[in-house]
Amino acid sequence: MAAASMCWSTTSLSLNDVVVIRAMSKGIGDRKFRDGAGLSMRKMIAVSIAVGSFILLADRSQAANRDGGTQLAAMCASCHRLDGGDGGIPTILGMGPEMLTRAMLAYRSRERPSHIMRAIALSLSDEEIATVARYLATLNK
Amino acid sequence: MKSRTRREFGRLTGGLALAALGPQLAASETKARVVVVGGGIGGATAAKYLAASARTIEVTLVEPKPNYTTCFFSNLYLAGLCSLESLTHGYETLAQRYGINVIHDSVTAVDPVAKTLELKSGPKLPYDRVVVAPGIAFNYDALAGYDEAATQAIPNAWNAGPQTQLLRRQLESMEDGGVFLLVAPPDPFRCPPAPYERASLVAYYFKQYKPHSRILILDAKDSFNAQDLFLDAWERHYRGMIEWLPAQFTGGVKAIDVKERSVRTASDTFKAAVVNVIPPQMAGQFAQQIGLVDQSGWCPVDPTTFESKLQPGTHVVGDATNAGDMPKSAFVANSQAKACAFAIAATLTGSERVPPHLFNTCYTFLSPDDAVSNAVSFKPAAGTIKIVDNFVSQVQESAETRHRTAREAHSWYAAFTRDTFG
Amino acid sequence: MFTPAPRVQVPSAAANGEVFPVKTLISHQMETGLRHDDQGNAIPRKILNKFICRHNDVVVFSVDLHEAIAANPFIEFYLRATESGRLEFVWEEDGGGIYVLEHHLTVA
Repeated sequence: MAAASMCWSTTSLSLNDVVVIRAMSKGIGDRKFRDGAGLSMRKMIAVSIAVGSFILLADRSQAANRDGGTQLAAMCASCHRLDGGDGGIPTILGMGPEMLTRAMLAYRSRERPSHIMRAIALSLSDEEIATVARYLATLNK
Repeated sequence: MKSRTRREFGRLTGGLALAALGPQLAASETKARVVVVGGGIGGATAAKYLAASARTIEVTLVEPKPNYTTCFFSNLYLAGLCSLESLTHGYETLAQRYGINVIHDSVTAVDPVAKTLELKSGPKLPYDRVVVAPGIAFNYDALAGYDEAATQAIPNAWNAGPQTQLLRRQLESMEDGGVFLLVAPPDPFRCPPAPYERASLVAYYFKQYKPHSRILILDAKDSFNAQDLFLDAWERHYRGMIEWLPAQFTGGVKAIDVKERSVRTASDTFKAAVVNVIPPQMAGQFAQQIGLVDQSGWCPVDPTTFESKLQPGTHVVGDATNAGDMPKSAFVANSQAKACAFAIAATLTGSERVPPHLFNTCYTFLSPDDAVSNAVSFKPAAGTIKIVDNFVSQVQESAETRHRTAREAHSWYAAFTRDTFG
Repeated sequence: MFTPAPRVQVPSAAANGEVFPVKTLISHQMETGLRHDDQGNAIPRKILNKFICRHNDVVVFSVDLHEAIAANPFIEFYLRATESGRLEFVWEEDGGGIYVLEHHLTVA
């Protein structure tokens, strides 16, 4: 385990490696899914949506996860439903990454009022905002 | 070594995409075992996020009760504004959707060397990591005449459930013109604004049904959380109904007389129709039993992983922790549990560890249509956890803003309990 | 409707020459006059501006209060017992309102 951890934190891992890993994992996933349950890809998506906030964990955006997208989005999930449910707290699904990023920056600068969102936006770096926006945008595709 | 990493990673991500589809697809490799002890907000969140963050971790949640009633929003129940059932959540989703092994039992012993937990019913559970979320215990030594048995007559109503129901029954059967006496605890305690929210919402109930009744708060402190917001609201909504006496005036509460239904301070004795004593608090009994508590009465933890400073391999989240500036709130327990789950998952799967984002938000009802909120961000610093930013609702906000916050609070509850219990 | 009475903690009996503490507390908003309402109008100042303690009609302690004093002012001071008699505690409010409490002290 420790060795694996070292591999990920070193820079020796090239971009190509990452791409290969992604492709591999996706392949495994698809095959296992078809073999195991005999459902179509469309149904798989439907199941993913039905299971609600598990989408959060079903890590479709590998790149977003590698820089902490999952962990950052977990913070959002304390108040915003990530399964599409809505209410007095606005949903953050269905928006592109640019729109989400703009909104966060507007909260940070007080252009948009909300002291809760201001505290959140201030606690995130520009990079983290971009990461979580990218990640959230993958949840409703 | 590199190829092994790739294989593991592939398995992990492949598994993640399929995780929701059921245990029949589980990989056959030996899984890391994490046991979570305690199914409150901290424990349930930790179990869910551990199960979700890595397919290679097998998560067991041990909790004696079949379901959990949230303390937050239970003041609305006291005011007759919601049912206790609407605040009660089961563990079925955690078990069925997230594949968590939920065991309704108690842990009687922990062997941190052999890494096993012993269940009351007999069997031993092996673990690689254990997360303990024991909540709070009451320190009855501090108040003469008040103990566990006394709570059957004078409730503490600080763990939601039968105690909250008892207090509600007493308030309902109280005659108009009576005094509701609330004994507020010293810091630190679970949910800093809650005693004063309780006074506010009970006043709301009195105003409608028992308008000649009043509320007296005998505090162990000289000031309290969001005091300006509460005093302003009490003046606007419940003028003359709520009186708050700080410790510097009364000398502090010394004893409770259950038979007389009276409370003695250093200077006076106050008699009341209904008494609610919120006792001083410390880390939950289980944490004390297995040696996670230091002389502060709480569990010292690493500020990034929430691993116990007293017992390596054991993590503590929620109210029981001494987590620097972080208050004891459901939101904090949820936030800590996520940080802890991600840290454990990173260690057990060898994935990259990300710095934790620690946060607190509290919604507080001053009346059903008048709510305030705060938002605090924290960061680990110098071995503890420090406040970075702290924003709170303002006294002069419009009624419309407050109404909006109240509506927001209800949808926050729905999202938050779903985030915790699935 | 009930209005919280001002509260005072003071012994009923004291030995001649004894120094004893007096604690007072009154529920009061102490509106500073510096705040504005929703419409942006200034909320008029209404504070307790003076507290006086008299013993047999002689002022033995007094204090001027200002805008920066928090709501529900708590005042603690000490008196020396010299003779039995009436202690009177008075809070004076902007606009002329007053709140009064009386207490009998026996000095042995």
